[in-house]
Amino acid sequence: MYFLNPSSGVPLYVQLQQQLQQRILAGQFNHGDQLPSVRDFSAELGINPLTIAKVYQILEREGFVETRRGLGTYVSHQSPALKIEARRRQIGPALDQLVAEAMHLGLGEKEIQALLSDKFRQFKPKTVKPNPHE
Amino acid sequence: MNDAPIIVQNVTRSFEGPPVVKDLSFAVKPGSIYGFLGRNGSGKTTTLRMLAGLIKPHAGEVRIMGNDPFTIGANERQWLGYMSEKAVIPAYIKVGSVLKLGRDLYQTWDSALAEAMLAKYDLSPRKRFMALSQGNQRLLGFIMAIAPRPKVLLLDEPAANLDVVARREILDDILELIRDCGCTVLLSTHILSDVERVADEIGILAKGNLRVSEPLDSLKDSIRQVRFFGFKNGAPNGDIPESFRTVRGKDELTLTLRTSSLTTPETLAQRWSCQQETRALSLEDIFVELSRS
Amino acid sequence: MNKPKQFWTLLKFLTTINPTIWIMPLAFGVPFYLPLLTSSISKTYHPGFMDLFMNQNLFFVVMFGSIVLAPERFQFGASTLTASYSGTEFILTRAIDRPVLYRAKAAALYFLVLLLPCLAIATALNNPDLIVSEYSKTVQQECLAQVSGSVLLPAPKNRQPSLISIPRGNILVAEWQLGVYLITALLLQVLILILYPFKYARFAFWALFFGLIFIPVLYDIYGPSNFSTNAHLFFAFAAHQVLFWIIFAAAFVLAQLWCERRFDRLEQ
Repeated sequence: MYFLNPSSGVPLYVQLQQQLQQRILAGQFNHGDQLPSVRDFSAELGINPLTIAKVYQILEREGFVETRRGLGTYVSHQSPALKIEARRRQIGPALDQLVAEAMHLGLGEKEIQALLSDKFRQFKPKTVKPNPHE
Repeated sequence: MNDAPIIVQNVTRSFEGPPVVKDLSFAVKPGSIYGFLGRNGSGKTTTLRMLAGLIKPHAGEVRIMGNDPFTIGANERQWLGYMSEKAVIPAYIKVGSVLKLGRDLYQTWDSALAEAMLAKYDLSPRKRFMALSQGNQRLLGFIMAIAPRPKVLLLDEPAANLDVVARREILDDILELIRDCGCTVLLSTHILSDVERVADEIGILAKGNLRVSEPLDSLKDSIRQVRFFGFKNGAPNGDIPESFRTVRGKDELTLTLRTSSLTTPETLAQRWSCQQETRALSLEDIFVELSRS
Repeated sequence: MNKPKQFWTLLKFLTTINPTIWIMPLAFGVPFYLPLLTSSISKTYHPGFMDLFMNQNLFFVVMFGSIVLAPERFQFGASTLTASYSGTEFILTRAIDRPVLYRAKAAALYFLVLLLPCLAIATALNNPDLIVSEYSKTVQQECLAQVSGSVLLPAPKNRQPSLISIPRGNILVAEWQLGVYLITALLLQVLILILYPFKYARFAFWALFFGLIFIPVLYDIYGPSNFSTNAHLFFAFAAHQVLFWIIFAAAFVLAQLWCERRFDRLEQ
């Protein structure tokens, strides 16, 4: 299931791209798995096929998928370094927001770090973190 | 863009009084869905009627697949589908007879598709048009526009009078058509969430002019509402970049503007020595901001 | 789609728009062919020339024209409703050629308008001979001079001769009516298409409708002479039938061509 909100300020293609990226990074797809065709995916999600095509193009550029002419789009093998790099990039926007908000509220770096540690402790038992050495 | 299937070039049209559409220009690329938005009375229906060949522009020209839609005959109209804003099918005619008319007039009429759509929307062929609900009347108009598998499809408020499920269904039908035949679609609508789902380009019409005509993604990516506050040297008076809407508050300035590589909220905040808070806007927000200015 | 097939498809479509209109000619035509029927029953009733041409009911040509040719423009009522029920915008945005659509509309109009005159001709064939009652000597002279085969019947003693026998007279009158209706239908089409783009077209049109009902009657009753213009024309027709039919045919073709071209260029 993909959660797409057409009315969001975030364009649809960005939403879908981020969700697909997250799932690939989280290991929900195996290397070599085929993604739905543009046509089928568009029918499934009820959005313009051009949007799907755009997302596949971006993912290919970033190295997440590869398109084989006439066959389809497949999840490509991710080297561990690439994966870590990609994950770091993925969390970038959330961090931007956190830091901006902190500055806005006048909270310093040390305070935020303390708050973050608390949060990790809170969340830890429930999350299954992907192995950082994968 | 001379080979675009739908071209509107410097078109002006008035009825009694000031022009309803003034020097309007845009083109729709092949295989794309163009969402034509605007408030009531902004000129959407007039533009669509000119494209359908019902009326002529007073200045400028419109072109459908290179032809003037007002003068084209049966052969060219095989490829042009039009759905009117109103329910325009005669009252006494039976649903089955209307479909038969389509079968007789169009070489590319897809009977299977028409039958499937009748079943999907629960329209009985034996019912007379006037016995249908308003929503069903318009659905029949939609079926008549789409069943010939046109190359260019003009839809005037296709989703008006339809319930939520039917709206979703016709959007799916439109998407299916472009997937199968590379159809080019121009649809005018009030219902922005539908447009956001399927349109790749957007035109916002206000007072007969296009305020915006570009891909939806770039529109959403570039238009931001930014609140500047905490001015160290006072709020700026001049030197404000062009924006769709400007609101001055007590020691704050809110701009709805298009960001570019040169004009970002950060650079402006730096220039004015203040803080900024940015919000991305949904299409509905963008539309309201543009319509108000 | 080839044009003849398109024509029949469109004609079929037009018949479904307003189903009740197709039986109207019979209802409206009663005063039209009734005298012809009654004269075949009653041997003593002889109509005058005025009577023959008084009940022409040309106004229903106008009525049919407005319904068939351009209901969206010339009918009254909320314009949205009229637009939906006339189907004009719908059919114009389908894969049709406008001249062919116009031809179908015109064909429908001719059917409605000429049905009765044709029926009258058919009725007249059963009872072709006509005896007209006319007292004016000038009119009698004109009739005898123009209408070949007409004779003044001898009158009983001490009475002015007042009966003219016209062999095949009923057929002649019916043919003349056909011509009059045809010309009226042609003029009506031209008028509707000329008036179409103008704002107050509807009012001008219906003023004409009422004018056509009342003015001929008033003129014939209160006019300068008690000799109807229609009868004059009828005599001319009787004297030069071939010429008149050529004129009717030419007018038909020219009007039809002009109307198709004009319709092709009209905005909705």
